[in-house]
Amino acid sequence: MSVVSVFEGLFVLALTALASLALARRTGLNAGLFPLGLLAGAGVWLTLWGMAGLLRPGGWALYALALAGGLCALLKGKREETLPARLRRNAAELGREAKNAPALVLFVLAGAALWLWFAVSRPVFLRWDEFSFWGTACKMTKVNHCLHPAAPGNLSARAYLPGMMVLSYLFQFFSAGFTEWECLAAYDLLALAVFAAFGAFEGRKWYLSALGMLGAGLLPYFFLAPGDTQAATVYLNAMGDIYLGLTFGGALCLYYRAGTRKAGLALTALALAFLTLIKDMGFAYALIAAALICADRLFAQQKPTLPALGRTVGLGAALCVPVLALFLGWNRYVLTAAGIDKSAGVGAAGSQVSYFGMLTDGALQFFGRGDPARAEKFGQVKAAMTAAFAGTPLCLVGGAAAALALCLAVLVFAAVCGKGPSRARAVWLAVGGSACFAAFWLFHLLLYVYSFSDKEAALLKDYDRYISPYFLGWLLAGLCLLALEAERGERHRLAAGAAGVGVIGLAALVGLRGLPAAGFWHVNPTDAAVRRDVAQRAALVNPYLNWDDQVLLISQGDDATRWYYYGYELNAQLAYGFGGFGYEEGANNWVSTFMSLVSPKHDPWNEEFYGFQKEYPYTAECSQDDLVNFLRQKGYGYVLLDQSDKYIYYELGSLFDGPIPIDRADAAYLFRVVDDGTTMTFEPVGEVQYVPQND
Amino acid sequence: MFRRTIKRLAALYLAAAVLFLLGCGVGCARGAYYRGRGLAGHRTLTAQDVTYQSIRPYDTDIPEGETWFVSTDTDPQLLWEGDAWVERVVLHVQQHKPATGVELYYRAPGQTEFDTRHVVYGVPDGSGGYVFDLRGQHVSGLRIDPDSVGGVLTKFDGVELNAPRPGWKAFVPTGAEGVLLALAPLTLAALWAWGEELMAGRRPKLR
Repeated sequence: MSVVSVFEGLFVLALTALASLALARRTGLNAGLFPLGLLAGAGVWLTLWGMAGLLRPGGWALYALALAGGLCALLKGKREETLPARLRRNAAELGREAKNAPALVLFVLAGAALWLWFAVSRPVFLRWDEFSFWGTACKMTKVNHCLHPAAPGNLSARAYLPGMMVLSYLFQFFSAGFTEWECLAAYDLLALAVFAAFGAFEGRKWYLSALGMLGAGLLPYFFLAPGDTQAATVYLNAMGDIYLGLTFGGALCLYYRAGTRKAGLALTALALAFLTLIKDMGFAYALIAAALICADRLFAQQKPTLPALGRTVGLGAALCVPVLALFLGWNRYVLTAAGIDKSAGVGAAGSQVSYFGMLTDGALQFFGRGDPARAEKFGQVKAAMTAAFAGTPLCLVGGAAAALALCLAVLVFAAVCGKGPSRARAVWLAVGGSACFAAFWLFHLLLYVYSFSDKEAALLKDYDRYISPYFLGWLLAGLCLLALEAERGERHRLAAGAAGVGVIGLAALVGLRGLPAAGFWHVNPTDAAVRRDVAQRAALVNPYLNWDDQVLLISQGDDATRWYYYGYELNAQLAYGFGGFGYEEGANNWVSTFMSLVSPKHDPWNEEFYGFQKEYPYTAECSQDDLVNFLRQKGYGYVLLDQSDKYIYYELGSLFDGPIPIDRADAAYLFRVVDDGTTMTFEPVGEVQYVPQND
Repeated sequence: MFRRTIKRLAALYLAAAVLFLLGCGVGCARGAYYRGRGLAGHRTLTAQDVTYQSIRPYDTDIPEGETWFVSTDTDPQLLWEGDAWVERVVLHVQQHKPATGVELYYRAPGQTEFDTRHVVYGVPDGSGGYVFDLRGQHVSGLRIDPDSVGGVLTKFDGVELNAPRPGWKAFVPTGAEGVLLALAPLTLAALWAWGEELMAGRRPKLR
């Protein structure tokens, strides 16, 4: 572990704190509100530079700007004042700002503690989605100093948005190579920035900041299935969903706390712009947040007159234009950088539907008049979504229905505690949030019908992961209104009592119904054993590979885990295999990411001799001729023998120019495919070659 | 107000640290008591002392005197029943495949089933084996999952109970204790200050 890795995150934290204090002094806002806006702004800044092909210069420019701003804040003063005197005076002024912003102090302390803990415990990526997109894209961004669509690497989802990748890049800008724990810690510092915005009470009410941030920090644990006592990956995963929900809620918190000031609106706009960059659904979240803000401004904060409507339209435009520009700009960028047309629509190739087509046909399906070819699937998904609404657990108190009831209960209580505009504000968040949830839920129903395969749609794949971030953000915004009532409302004692009971109840609920056996505080060191094994093996063959090389992995008995890990570790293109029954003309086979090669012969001798192969998942019946046909047709240049078995040894061994193991060995062996059109041979490459021990 | 808050926080953190150290001291005293009763001795369990689940012996081309087994599914278990005070357990094995999810479950006296509240993760010891630090537990049974992969060929060289460990390890908080030590005093201080404000009954000033 490099020392730079430890200090660079703390450096970002220090710069963020300094910038927050300086801006708080200048604007009069609470300094705790700034970390979220600043990190979001940094994400947008890096994305824009990255889209211009200048990610690294953009990073240097950002750090230079932050340092210059920090120095100005510390050294500004009149000409006759000496530098030490200016420094003392400015430090004292910024110190006073810090005393008035306990949320910022807690953000810095908790952020530093978390960063140092991750430096010690060094968690790594373990979940498949971290290898199919999230983690891999973060690594590609850092290693190549460019946005992931333009970077070489094994990434099929190149068109996904880059917000979290550039955030990870920001926090490990100075160190060499990519560090996974820094990426995971960077995500969590964004979460802490959201909690700081939520808990940005004024200084003498530091206890509300502390309890508010603790309660907000528990919320992601609340959105786990009850009774799941396995190790929780909250704050320990590189996927964007939780951070999507938190940033959605955080942007609303920024608005509720400071939306009457221009600086507050600017922070909100930055948070919404970054929300758009987290993932595709972030665009919808940002528009929902903008709609909720506009409704609040028009109906809750003033009388809905014509001039007020005009001002609100202006506000909506100011919030939505950056969001729309970033979303459309990204679509254009991926078309140029990776040749992917995101506006083509949704669904698999061959059955693709435009977004407009999805919405119109989807609307007609509700009245039984849509495309008959999709009517049955629509009916199935609708029934499944209806059942899941109350049935599929999203949080510790139940499904979406329970989460909806909880959000509404919090807002009703906030409305009861408030008077006048603050009551109207809670009512409009309840009404607007419910209406937007209905639209959000129906949109997901259509996505399942038009974008997912039949099997995935029937299972409502990742339903909880897609739906719960909305409740997470909405609940955070609702609790923010309740907290504001507790701080300065007419019935502050009532609100304070409710908030206190809420925090204690949440802690009790998590403790009694959902306390995970382990989490970011306790990571099983052996969970990463396969990761380490694959990383060591890949490192030995990487010097002999280039990004253009296509490598077919042979890893007998793999369940895709090793295939994904190799895709992340290898500096080459990991080739797709095939599944099914042979590869001669007319054989029944299909494209598969990975494969285990098994005997196509079903006579008793082969059945018994290779009987162990029945335990392999996702197999391809593949004779020597099938493998030659397949490689010849695909034109793959390399074979990487990761895990051999008796079948490879006896039936395919003659293809290899040199000895190969009969079982799993200590390394993976790289072979170049040499083919003259009649004979195919696998020639060993590199220094790591198999040497038989006993023969 | 600011100074009072800092003083109060310092006092609560100090109290938490003292309580933690006292807890560790009590653990050490309990260890001494059980050692006196002969329940905390250093001993090594052999293949005959443990029972197996989802594990079958492997005896093809094995040198005499060695014990090999292979896990038959993703939840292999080595089980031991007995009354003991256990501080550190070392599983001595050599495995032919990376084994993920190596865990030790312990059962307290009176507890009937192993559960995820009583689990310790294995830390690789650098020579193929795993160390489990229980930090002093009175147990009536142990269950070690040597892998969570299945099909792992394993040379079993015994399980060491109460393997020697440096004394200072008893005073290092676990991750969960660390989180509690960091957050509990802060939470208490915040609740205290909030309670004071509510009791004082003052209307908050608008900023």
